[in-house]
Amino acid sequence: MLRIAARPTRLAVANRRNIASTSARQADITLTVDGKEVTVPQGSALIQACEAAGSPIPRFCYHDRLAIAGNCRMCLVEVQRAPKPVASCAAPAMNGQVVFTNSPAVHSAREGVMEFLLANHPLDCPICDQGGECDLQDQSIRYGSDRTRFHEIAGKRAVSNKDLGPIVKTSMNRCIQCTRCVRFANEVAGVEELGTTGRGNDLQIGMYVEKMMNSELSGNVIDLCPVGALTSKPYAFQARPWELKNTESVDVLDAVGSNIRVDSRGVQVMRIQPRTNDNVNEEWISDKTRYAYDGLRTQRLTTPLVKGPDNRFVAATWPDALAAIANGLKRTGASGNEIKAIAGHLADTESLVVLKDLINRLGSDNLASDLVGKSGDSAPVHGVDVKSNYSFNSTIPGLENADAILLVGTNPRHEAAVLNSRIRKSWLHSDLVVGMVGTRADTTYSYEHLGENAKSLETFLGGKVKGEFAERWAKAERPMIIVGSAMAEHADGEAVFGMLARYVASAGTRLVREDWNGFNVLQRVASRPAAYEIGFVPSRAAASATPKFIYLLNADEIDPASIPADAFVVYQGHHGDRGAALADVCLPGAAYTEKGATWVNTEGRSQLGRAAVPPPGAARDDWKVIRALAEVVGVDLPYDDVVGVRDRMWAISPSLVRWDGLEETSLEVAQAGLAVLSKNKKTLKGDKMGLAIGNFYQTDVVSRASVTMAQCTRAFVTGESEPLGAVEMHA
Amino acid sequence: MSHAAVTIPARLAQATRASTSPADARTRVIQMYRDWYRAAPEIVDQYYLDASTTQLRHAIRLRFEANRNLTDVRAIDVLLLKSRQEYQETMNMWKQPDHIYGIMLQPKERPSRSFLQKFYEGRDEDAITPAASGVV
Repeated sequence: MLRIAARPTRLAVANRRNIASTSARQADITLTVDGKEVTVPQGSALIQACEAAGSPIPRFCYHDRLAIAGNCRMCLVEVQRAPKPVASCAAPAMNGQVVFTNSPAVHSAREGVMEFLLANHPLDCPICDQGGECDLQDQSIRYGSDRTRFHEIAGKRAVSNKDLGPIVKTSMNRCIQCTRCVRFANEVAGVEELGTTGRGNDLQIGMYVEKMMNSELSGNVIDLCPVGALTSKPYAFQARPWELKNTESVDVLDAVGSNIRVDSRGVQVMRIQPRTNDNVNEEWISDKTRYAYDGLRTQRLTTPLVKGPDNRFVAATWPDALAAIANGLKRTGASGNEIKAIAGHLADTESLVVLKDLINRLGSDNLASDLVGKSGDSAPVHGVDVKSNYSFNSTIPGLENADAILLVGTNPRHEAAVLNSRIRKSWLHSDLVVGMVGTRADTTYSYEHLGENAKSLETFLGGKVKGEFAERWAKAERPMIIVGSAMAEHADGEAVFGMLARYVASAGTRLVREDWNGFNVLQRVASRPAAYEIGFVPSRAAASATPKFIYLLNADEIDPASIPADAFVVYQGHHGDRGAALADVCLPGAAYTEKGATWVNTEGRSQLGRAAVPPPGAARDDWKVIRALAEVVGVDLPYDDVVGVRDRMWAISPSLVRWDGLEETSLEVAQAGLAVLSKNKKTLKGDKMGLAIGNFYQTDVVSRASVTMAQCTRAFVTGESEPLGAVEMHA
Repeated sequence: MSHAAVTIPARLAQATRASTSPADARTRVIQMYRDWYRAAPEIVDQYYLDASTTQLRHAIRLRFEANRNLTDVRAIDVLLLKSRQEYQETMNMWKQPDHIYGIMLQPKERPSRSFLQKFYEGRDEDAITPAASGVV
C-alpha cells in the first residue's frame, strides 16, 4: 500500500493514476443530431451529445461513471462524411458534426452487433434472474433478429462460472464482455484483481486465480452487469422485478445515509437497490446496505415481553407492558438523573426527540449513547453545541476537491464504504495525497502512514515529519482532516481534538475559510449526528449519577457491566439482540424499512426514510411507543401525530426537517466551535488508535441477524474456507 | 305508489346557490328541516315503513343536531346540497325502503379516540400507508 514512497518523481498533472481520463471542461461546441442542433461542452462523448439531443442510444459497455471501453459496439451511429458507423461512446463530439442515430444504416449495424452478441448468449431468459430488467433482453426486442443463422456444430461458447464469494453469483455463459464490472472493480472498488484474460471470442472475466472478490462494494457489479452474467446470490430466484413495490428510502447501517430503493413484495423486503444521489452515494451502495435486509426477517421482537419471576420473558399485551414499566419506574424510586436513557445505533430522529422530551420531563438529563466503553455516559469530547465540531464539514462531494487528506484514527473503507470510494475516485483522477495516523488498513488508495498514536499526530502537526506527504500537506490549498468518530471514544480523544483545533486555528485560512472547511469528523453510526444535533447528551451532573431506571432505545452495543444489577431496564428496538437480553421489559419497535423517519448523515444532511413494509406483529412506530409510555407514566407530551413531532423537531433545529438539504455552518460559528475545542488540553497517553470497526459486515443488530452478512464474515473476515457450492445454500 | 310511474326528473329540484351570510344559511337550514319534517308522514306511508312518523322525525332531527356546531357557511352549503338531493330522491321514490331505514339507523361515526386508545387498538392509520413510487 505504500506506493507513495516507491513512486518516482511525481508529475504534477492530473489523471496520473489511471489510463483513461476525462479532459478538463472547455468551450462549448455545437453539432446536429437527427436534424436537431445541440450544444455540449467540448470533450463530451458523442453518446452524451445524442442523449442531450433527446436521441437515446442503446449501449452495453458505456456507463457515465466508468471509464470508456468502446467494446460492445452497440452504440454505433452514423456521422456524415465518416466512412463507417462510429461507436458513439468512444468518439468525441466535434463542432459542426452531423449525426444520424436512426438511419437504416445505423439500424442494420446495431442489428448485426446484436446478432453477434446473441450468437453466444444462452437462451435461458425464463430461468435468468436478470429477466425483466435485462438490457440485452430489452434491446433485443428492438434490434434482435426473429430467426437464427446460428448453425455451429460445437454449440455456443461455454465459459466456466467463477466463485466470487457469497454475494455475486456468476453465469459466465451469459457474459457479453462489456467489462463494466472490470472497470468498476478497478476504478471504484479498488479490486484490481478482477480483469480479463484471453482475446476476442475467448475473452473471459475473472480474478485470474481462484479467489473471491473481496470488496465491500462488490454488489454494485450486479447492478452494472447489463445481462444476467453477474446476479445476486442472496436474491437468486426470489422475485421478479415486476412483482416488487419500490419505496425510496435511506440506508441507516452507516452514517453516510446512502439513498436506497427498497423493493418489497407483500410484507417482505425482497432486495435493496441504490438510488442515484450525486451529493451522497452517487449510485453505489455498500454490500452491508444492500444485503443486510435478510436480517430484518429473523430475530425480530414482535410482541411486548415482560420478564417474569423466573427470569424468563413472557409475551404481554401493550397495556400490560407499559403498566409494568410504570410500576418498575415507581418501584425503583428512580428520580432525577437516576432515570437514564441510552440511544443506540439505529434510533431515528423522531424517537430520539420524543425520548429526550420524556426523560427531561421526568426531571433527568441523563441521555447517554452506547459508545465504546464508558464514553457514552458523559458528553462527547467534541461537544455538541457547534454542529461543525462533529460533522463532515467539507461534504461528501467536497472530497473531490481536496488535494491532501489526513486521516486520524479512521478507516473510511469500513466506517463509510461509499464515501471511501469518493476518496479513491479523487485519488485516481487528481493529485490527491493521503496521510494516515492510526492502525494501518487497506483503504483502496495509497497513503503515507504517519504513526499509530496521538504522539505521532502531534509530531506531524508540529511539522517535525519529513516526507512527501508532509511537503504536499504544507502546500495544499484544500487540505482535509478527517477524524474518525472513534477518536471521541479514545483515551486521547480530548487531547487529539484540542490539538487539531489549535492546529486548524494556527493554520489561519488554510483549513477553515469562507469557501472551505477542512475539519471533518466522520461519524460511523446513523443515529449519532441526529442525537448530537438535538442535544441527546448527558449533562455533567447526570454523568455521575447511578441509574436506577434505564431506557435502552435500540441500544445494543452497550456494555452489560455498565448496568447496575438493581436497575430496572427497558429495551425498545426491533431485534432480540444484546440490549433485549439485558431488559426487564422489551417493547417491539419498527426497523428502518418499516417506518417513515428522519435520518441525519455524517454531513448533517437530514433525509427522510420511508416505510416499505409494515412492522411485524404488535410492533409499533418507535416514537409512538415512547409517546404512549409517556402517557402511562403520567407525562403529557404535546403532540400525538407525526406532524406534531416534526413541528417539535423544527422548533429544536429547523434543519432536521429540511430534508435533503444541507445547512452549512457559517465561518464565524465554525471558528467559535474550534476555539472551544482548542481549550481541550490533556497529556497524551499514547495509546494506539485502533480500528473502530473490526468486522465491516456485522456492526449492528440487522447485519448481525443477517445470514448473508454471516457468510460474508466467514468468507472475507475470518477467512474460513467454504467448499465450492456451499455458498449456494441460502435461508 | 301510483305517482312513481310518472316520475318527473326535475320534481323538487332546486338550483344550487351559495348562502350569502350565516343568517341566510340558517334560514335555508330551517327550511330544509321543515321540508323533511313535513314529509315524514308521506315517507312512512309511501315506503310502507315499519316505523312511526315520530321515529322518523326523531332520526332526521338527530342528523341535523349532529351538525349544529357548524359555522363555516361553505360547509353548511355542502350539507344543504346533500340533504336537498336526499330529499328529492326520497320524495320522488327513487329509493328503496332500505335506504330510508339507513337514514333512521344511528349514524356509524367512529368515536374520537385518544392517542393511547389508537395505540393499543392497532397500528396507526397514516404511518403504515406505504409510500410506493410505482414501477421504475
